[in-house]
Amino acid sequence: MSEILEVSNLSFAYGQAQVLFDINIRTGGLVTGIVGRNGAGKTTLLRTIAGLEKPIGGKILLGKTDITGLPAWKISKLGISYVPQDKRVFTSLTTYEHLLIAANAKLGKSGDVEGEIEKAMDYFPRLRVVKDSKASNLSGGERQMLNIAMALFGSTKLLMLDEPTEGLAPALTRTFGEVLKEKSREVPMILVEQNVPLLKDVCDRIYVLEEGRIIHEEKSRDEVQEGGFAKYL
Amino acid sequence: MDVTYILQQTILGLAIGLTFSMVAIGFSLTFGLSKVINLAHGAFYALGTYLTFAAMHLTNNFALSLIISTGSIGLVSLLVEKVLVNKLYGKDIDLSLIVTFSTLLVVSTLIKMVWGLDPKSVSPPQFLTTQIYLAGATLPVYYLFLATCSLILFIFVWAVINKTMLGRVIKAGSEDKDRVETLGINMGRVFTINYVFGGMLAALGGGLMAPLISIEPSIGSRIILLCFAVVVVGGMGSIFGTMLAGIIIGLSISYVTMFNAPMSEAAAYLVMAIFLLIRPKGLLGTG
Amino acid sequence: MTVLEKKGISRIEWPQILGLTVFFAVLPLFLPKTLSMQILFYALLGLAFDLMYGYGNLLSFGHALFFGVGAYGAAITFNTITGNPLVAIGVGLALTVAVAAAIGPAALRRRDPYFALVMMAFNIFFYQLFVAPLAPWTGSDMGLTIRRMESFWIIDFSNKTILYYIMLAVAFLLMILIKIFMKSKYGALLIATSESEFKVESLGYSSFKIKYLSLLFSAFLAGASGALFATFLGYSAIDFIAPTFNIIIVFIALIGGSGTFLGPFIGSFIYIALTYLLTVTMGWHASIYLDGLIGLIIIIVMMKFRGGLYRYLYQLAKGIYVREPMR
Repeated sequence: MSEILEVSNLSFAYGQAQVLFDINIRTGGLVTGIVGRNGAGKTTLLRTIAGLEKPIGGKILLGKTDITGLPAWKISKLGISYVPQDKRVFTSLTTYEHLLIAANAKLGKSGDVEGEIEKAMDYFPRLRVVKDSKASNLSGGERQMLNIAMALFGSTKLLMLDEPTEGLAPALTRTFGEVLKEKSREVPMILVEQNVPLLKDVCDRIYVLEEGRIIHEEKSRDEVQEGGFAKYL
Repeated sequence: MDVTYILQQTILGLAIGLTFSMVAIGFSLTFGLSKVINLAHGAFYALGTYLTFAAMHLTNNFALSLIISTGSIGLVSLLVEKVLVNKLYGKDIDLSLIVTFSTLLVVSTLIKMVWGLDPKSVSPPQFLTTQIYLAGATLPVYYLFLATCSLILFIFVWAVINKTMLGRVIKAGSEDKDRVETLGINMGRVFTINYVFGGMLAALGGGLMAPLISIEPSIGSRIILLCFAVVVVGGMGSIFGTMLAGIIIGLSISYVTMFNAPMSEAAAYLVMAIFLLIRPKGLLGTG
Repeated sequence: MTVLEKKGISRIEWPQILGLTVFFAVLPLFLPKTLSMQILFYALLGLAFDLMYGYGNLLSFGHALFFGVGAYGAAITFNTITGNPLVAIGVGLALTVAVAAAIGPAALRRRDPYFALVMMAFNIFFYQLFVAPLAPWTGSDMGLTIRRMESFWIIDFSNKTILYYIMLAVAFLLMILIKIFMKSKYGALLIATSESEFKVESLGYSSFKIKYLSLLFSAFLAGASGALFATFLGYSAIDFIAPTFNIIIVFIALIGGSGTFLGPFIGSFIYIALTYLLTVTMGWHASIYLDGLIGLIIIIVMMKFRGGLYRYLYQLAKGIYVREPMR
């Protein structure tokens, strides 16, 4: 189930402005944290892995499959789920419709779409309560729950989360932390986060990104728990 | 001004208005989803009309002609999307304006080459050319037929957008196409389906309008402006708004025809100009 | 690189203006005067259009309206009010600017794509006015022949050669006006507005006012071209105000190279040449195919050579001129 994501010498530029320089990352089938100051390129890195941006150099391997330059939908079908920043949702659709689209896309015709949606709503009971509400009426926490639920349909080989607890109340942050910790035992993750305690609790390795380059790595749980990476934030 | 005439024009206005809505919705969806102003949409309408005319010549069967012309435009719009429109996604909006307008012009020229400049006409089947007596006035049956057809088709479009997976994907994609792609959906394919769907609606609208109009090469450019007027008045992002706007514009045209026929189309643009000045968002616009 | 160069906009330089004037002064030796005049004024019309598009990033599908109102305004004045050319052309100009002033607010409400299509809608509106209700004055689709023209001062307007050089002189003045405008605060503000309305507003300017004034100036130029050309021809054609004329205007401005001064002149030349070639090879039926051919060329050029032929040629001659980046 778990496949290792290997990013080698990845570079990316917006036109003339280069944003990522020779990034090398290995997930090791566990929870990988990516940290750094704002503007370091973390979101761009995730977007490039997700296929939303085309790199100008380097390679991305998921297990043995070369996914470099593939369109985003193909990468998603191969098992990479991406939850973007900002807790964005589709304001013209209801909660249930969000889950429908996601489940349908990941499970295909042969999957038990309704069954899986029920399971998702069991895991996040709050979603069942708001299932017919327009997503524009959901709170930040509810939206995030929805986004994570949407990302977990089907067999996910890698879950990428961009600042999932940003802007959430502390109580909710703790809840999400627990959810992430629980899920991390089943699904490898790449976690972009600013929340140090969460990172220490959950990550098995951490990469520190600054101005598009990896400047520091912590390759084991012990190193992570020491929290040395925090000084780079 | 006798009541019969007013009633006739009202039904006519509703009928053509609903047809405009039907044609405009494809144009609106393509802009909402793919962010391309597809002026070539007018070409599909025009071709739909002309092909219906041509098919009627061959088969003399109105229903069959409509099917043939709509189906053909399905193929034509697919070709246009794959060869040209495809390359416009994500580019400057004025590129799509210029290129699709040029495409419209090329198609209009092709129409002139094939069918010439003389106006053509189409007669619907016998049973639709009669008149019925309703509410104290005689009304051409075709007006009622057109109104009914367009209404049904419009409801069909509404159902597809709001009740099917494709519709939901189109709505979601109109807001954030990247996000939908990361869910595993091939947006390129959705763009194509959306484009062809809209094109076929335009063609069908053209075919249905054929018996009512004088068919000539300029109808393509004229309908695209009416589509634009519908989108301005109704507002982007609202199907119901498009329907209302279409009806308003249809009625404007049919009522003005009672006073000054040549300026009837101009009336539509006047309504559009008024909306631009006092309510740019349109009646029910979300964008 | 200056802001202008970064946007791929060439400066309007004296050599270009003088060179063009000399070129058009000499052209009647090789081409009929009417044709030369047409190339000149169509080019100016293209420049007027490009003022909004190339510099202001506002695509207008309705500049034929301004050209037509200028032309018809002058023609109608000649026929109904006075044979004085100065008055007639002046009226044509005034009417054009009035029309622009009236439709400006509605058109500039939103950005592209609305501007383009709203302009087109007004174009069609006025076109229909001219064809139908106003037919007694405009001659509908037969066009309007100017029936009388007085001499102005010592200048005999019936002598086409003298008329040509007078028109050329006026065109020269118009080109200078364009240069003045672009060099002025408004020219720079227009370009700035096209890049970031927010920045312009935060400097205390009204982006609407800038766009509106630019539209008025653009309309003035287009109307002037129309009025002058119609005066020279002694005739105003319905084609001048027809909505289909707009694609020709777009062609002229874009094929040569949008955002450049010489571009529309190249485009105008190519357009006239194409018309001539087509008429020669296909007879008078050619006009049917012309639109389609223009459309096809535009598609090919826009998809392949985004910056227009002028820039393409510029890049080929890289060693000689400073390289102009694509827009």
